[in-house]
Amino acid sequence: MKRGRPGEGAETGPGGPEAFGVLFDRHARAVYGFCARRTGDLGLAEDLTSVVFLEAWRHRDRLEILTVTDPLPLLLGIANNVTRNARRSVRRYGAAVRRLSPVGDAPGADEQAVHRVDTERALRDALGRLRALTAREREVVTLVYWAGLTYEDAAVALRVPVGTVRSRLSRARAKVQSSPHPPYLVTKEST
Amino acid sequence: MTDLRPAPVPDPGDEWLAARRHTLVETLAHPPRRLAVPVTVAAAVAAATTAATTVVVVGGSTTSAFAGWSAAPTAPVAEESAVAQSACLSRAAQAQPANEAIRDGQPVNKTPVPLDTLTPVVTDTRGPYTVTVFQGTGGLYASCLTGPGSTVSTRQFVAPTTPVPADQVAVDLVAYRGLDGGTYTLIQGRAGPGVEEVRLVLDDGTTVEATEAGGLFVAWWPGDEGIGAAELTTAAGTSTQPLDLAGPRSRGGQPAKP
Repeated sequence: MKRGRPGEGAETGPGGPEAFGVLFDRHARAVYGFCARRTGDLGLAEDLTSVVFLEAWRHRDRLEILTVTDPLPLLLGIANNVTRNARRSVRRYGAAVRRLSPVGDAPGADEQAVHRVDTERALRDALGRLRALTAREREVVTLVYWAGLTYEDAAVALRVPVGTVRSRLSRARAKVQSSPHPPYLVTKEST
Repeated sequence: MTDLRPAPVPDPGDEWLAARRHTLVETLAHPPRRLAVPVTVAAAVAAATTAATTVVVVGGSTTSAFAGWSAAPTAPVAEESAVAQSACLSRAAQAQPANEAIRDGQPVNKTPVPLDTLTPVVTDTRGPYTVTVFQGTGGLYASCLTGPGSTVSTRQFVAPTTPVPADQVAVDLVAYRGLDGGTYTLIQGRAGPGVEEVRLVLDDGTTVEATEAGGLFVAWWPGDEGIGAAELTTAAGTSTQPLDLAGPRSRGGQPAKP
C-alpha cells in the first residue's frame, strides 16, 4: 500500500487526503460524541474533532490508521489524548482548525460556535458524576461505557493491556457504588 | 447516588460533517506549515497551559452593518416574510449536494436535510432583517437570517424534548455568525406555559425583546454580547430568569479576522 510521508499533502493514492475524508465520513460522529462528552462543550468538541483527524493524519504511518480493520479505537485513543488538555490542543492547531471551520456565507457553512445549553449542562452533569474516579479510571469508563468500545478496543485506544482495562473498570465500578447496577453495566460485564 | 450513564449528544448534522469533511481533505491536500512538522500525540497534550480559542466568531465586530436593526421586533410584511422563507430554503437546498459527498463508493450513513418537511414557525423581523425559524420532523429546527441582499443559514438542530417548566424558558441555541461584515448573535429557545413575553438582558445592559410563537422564542442582535438573564412576562407579572450565557470574548475566544 502506498504510504505518504508526514506533512506530504499532495497524495492521491489510497493513503491520501481523500482516504481520510472517507475515514472522517465513517467516524466523525463517534469522535465528536466522545469529545463532547469528555469536555461538556459542544463548540470545543467540534474543534477537537478536527484536531483528532489532523493528529491521525500526522501519525497515520505509525498508527497504520488507514490499514487496520477498525480504526475507531485508534481515533478515540487520539481523542482521549487531545481532550486531556482540550484547549491547548485546539490552540496548537489554531490555524488549521480555523481553516477547517467553515466560514462565510457559502452553502454548507456553519456557525462557528453553538451553545446548546441544556445539552451542555447534561454533559457536564455526567462528567461531574465521575469526579470520584481517577483520571485513568475516567478514561476507561468513557471509552467503554460512553463510547461503547469493547475492553479489547479500549486497550488499543489506551495502549495498555486488556487486563489493565478490566482492573480500572472494576475499581471504577466499586467507587461508583451505584444502586442496583444499571443494565448497561451488567451487559458490559458479561461481555 | 452515582451512575456511569453517558449524557446524550446531539447529532452534529450532515451539513456540518460535509463542510468539515470537505475542508479537512482540502487542508490535508494543501497543509499549512504547522501540519508538516510531526510531533507525538503525547507531546501535543503533555504540557498544561490555559486559554485558547473555543469560540471563533465569523466576521468583524462592527455593528454598522446592521443598520435598521431594532431591539424590539417590527411588524413583519407578509411579502417580505415569504421572500425570506424562499431565500432560506434555497440556501438550504444549495447545501444539499455537500451532504452527499460520499467518496470511493463507500457506503456512508447520511441523511439529507428533509427540506420538504420544513415549515416556517417563527418569523422575527427587525427593520430590513428577517429571521425565519423552520420546524421539521422529529424536533428538527433550522433557522436563517436574511438581510438586504444576504442570507445566512444556521445549522439545523434537534431541540430537547424535555418539557419547559411553567413561567420559564429553555435556551436551545446560541449562535454567533457573520453577515454583511458584522457579527451577530442569535438565540432560540422554548418558552414554558404561561410565558407571554421574553426579553433578553445582555451583559452590557441592553434589553432585546424576543419574538414568540407556538412555544418558541427567537431573538438576535448585532455583536457578540453575552446574555445575562431573561425577563419574562407572565400573568403573574414580570420575573427574571438568570441565563449567564457568556459571549465568546468572556469565554476566552477571540474574534476571527473579517
